[in-house]
Amino acid sequence: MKIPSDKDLLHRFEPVMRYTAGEEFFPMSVDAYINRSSLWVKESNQPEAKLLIPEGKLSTESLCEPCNDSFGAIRFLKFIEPLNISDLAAYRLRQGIEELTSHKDPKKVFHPGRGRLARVGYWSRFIDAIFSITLLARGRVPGDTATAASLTYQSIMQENQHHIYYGRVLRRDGWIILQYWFFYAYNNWRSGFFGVNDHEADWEMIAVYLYEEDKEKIRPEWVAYASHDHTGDDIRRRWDDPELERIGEHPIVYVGAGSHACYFSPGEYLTEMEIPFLAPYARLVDWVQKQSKTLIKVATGDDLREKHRDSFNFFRVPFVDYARGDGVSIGPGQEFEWDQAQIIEPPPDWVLNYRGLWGLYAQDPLAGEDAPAGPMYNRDGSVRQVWYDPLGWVGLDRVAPPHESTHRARHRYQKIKNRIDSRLVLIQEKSNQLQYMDIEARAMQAQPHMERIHRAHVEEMGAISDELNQMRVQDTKDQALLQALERYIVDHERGVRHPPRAHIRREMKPLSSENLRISRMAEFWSAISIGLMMISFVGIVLLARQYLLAALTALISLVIFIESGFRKRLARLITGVTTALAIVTALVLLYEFFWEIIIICVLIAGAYIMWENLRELLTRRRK
Amino acid sequence: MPIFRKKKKTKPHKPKRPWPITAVALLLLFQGLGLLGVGIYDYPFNLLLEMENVHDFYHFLLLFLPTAVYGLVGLVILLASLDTFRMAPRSWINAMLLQGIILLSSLIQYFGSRPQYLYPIMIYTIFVVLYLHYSGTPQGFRFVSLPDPNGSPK
Repeated sequence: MKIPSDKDLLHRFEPVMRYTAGEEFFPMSVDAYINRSSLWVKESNQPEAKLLIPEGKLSTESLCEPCNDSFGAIRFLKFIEPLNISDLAAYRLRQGIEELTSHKDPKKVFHPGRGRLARVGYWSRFIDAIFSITLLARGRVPGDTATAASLTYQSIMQENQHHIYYGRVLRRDGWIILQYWFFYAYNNWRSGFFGVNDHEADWEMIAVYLYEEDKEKIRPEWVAYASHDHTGDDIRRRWDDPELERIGEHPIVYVGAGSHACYFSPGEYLTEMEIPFLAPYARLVDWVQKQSKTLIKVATGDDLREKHRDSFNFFRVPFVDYARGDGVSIGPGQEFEWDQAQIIEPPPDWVLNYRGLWGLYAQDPLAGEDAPAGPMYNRDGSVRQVWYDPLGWVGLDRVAPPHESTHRARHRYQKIKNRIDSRLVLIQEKSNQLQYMDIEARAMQAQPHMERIHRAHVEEMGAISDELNQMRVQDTKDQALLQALERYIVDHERGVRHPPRAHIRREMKPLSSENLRISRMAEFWSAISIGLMMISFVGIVLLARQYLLAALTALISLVIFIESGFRKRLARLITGVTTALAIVTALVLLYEFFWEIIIICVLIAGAYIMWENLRELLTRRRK
Repeated sequence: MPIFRKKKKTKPHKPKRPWPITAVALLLLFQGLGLLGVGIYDYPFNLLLEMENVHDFYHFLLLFLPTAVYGLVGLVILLASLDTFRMAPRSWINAMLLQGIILLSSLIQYFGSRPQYLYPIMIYTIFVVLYLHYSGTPQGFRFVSLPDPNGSPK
């Protein structure tokens, strides 16, 4: 049988992409994008960026011509010139008329769900308000750019409609890795779907991990979807995982509206964005949450780590990523099919030699509004992990392909068995030596002049005894490991597999229906609470400054109370606050009556010990 | 022989009250009576003696609010105690809420006038909070609020 080519493999497992209604940008060819872009450079010592190649003259060849930029210089493409006011007004008018006069395709209309703010706590909303305010001061992509990008994308598609992915096929450590890269002209998550950011150009990818059972049979084992900056075990699913939806051998990808992040299940995802200067606090909160859950588990046996796995860190800004899959669908047997795959392994020049950004460099200090670099590079020009280490990126660098697992397990089994055998010989030798030494030590005991030699002899015996003990402990561990390996090999040969989700620690789950059923009142409260708090604060400062502390305490308490009521956590709040007050009161009492408390404790302890001893005595007498 | 026999009225079978609930109800009863006593005794007494020291509203609040609260809370606790005897739903969380209010008032008073009866109130309230947390107590309350799968009271 013919060995499949890279293109055949890519074609066999190519994904089905399901977009959310209202999505405006789909995977496209980089050539079409580059033809409509200009190349710029921003030197660190210059206030303005310099045009290098104007629109219409740029191509994939000219993009990667050698450059002599200074340190700190950033090359970037510019896809869109923002619309002028008259163009924008004409576009909006046309859109309005279209909406009024014709029935719009439901796949093109986005319906926002319950507000993201109503789904998170007060502090997160406060951080979000600050984040939104900073957006005014930070470098950002102008608001009407998304409209202009959409119009340009539509005109490109009218000229030549296409849906393209870029494929890589790699062979590493027994795995065959298929990477599917998708290029989007624009990310309109913020302006289109209430998300974090807008930027020109967007590179997303998914990967399928295969193994060669024999020369003729290639089987899929894992699938990994890139979503935002997540890496590791959590982003991969085994081929037989029920969460992974498939049409034949084509995995289904639910794409985030505007963000183009890839998800396994349809739904609305609450994602956290970390603000750089708040990152240490966010990590501290993570640590405290983890420790407190461990402590509660030790104290009560209640495993909150399982119950509240998705507890929210309020130092990260919450956003909703809509990946409903109710819009356009691209892939085999769908309304749009993939065009011929473009292979980028070995990397062509435009991948390898262009390290600049693929869209506007907005000079955003948080980098969210700056365009990304190409598939191979990070924004700073370093190589992406997913490119140079596609196995380590999903935690597969420590996982053997299934067809090699049994062989490797047997190899390991034999190695450990050999180790045990050689150790057993050593244990026997040492044990004999110890017995001879004991006889010698007894013999020396009857000879007073040999006292010093006897002492050294006994010390040596002690050392050998310790060594022997350690060897036996190690032997017990190895025996257990051997047993486990034996069972593993038998299971594997019988076709028994480990649970497909055992590797997942923290999975991305769409919001539950319970979370989405937030009352209108709660949404209204979420919308006004931050502003109301600020206005009340100013009111207190202006009208009742002498009671500032008391009034602020009362205000914050009231907000916490209302917030807990809406989130159905009033009982937890009352219990928590009362317990905290009881602890403070107990400390006050301890401070006031320290010696009295000590004396009472000693008296009680004495009486208790006496009671226990007397009871034991009386019980014995009765018997 | 009477043609119509008078039908015997059967009283609905009341569920047996678990011991922790009775204990909480009794603790609340004593606490309510005590606090009511403190409120009745202390409020007019303080009002007469300390009125000269009150310079503004903040002082007034610090001095008299906790005492007034004791009286009022005492009354509410008596009602809560009755509710607990009747095994009303949410009586555990009500008891906890009332303990929180008492503790808050006592702490405010500790930083203010610090009367003699303050410490016994603190000790007693901490004891009630501990007892409410004690593993058997919440379970007893949960047992009452759970519906019987057979539809008949236990």
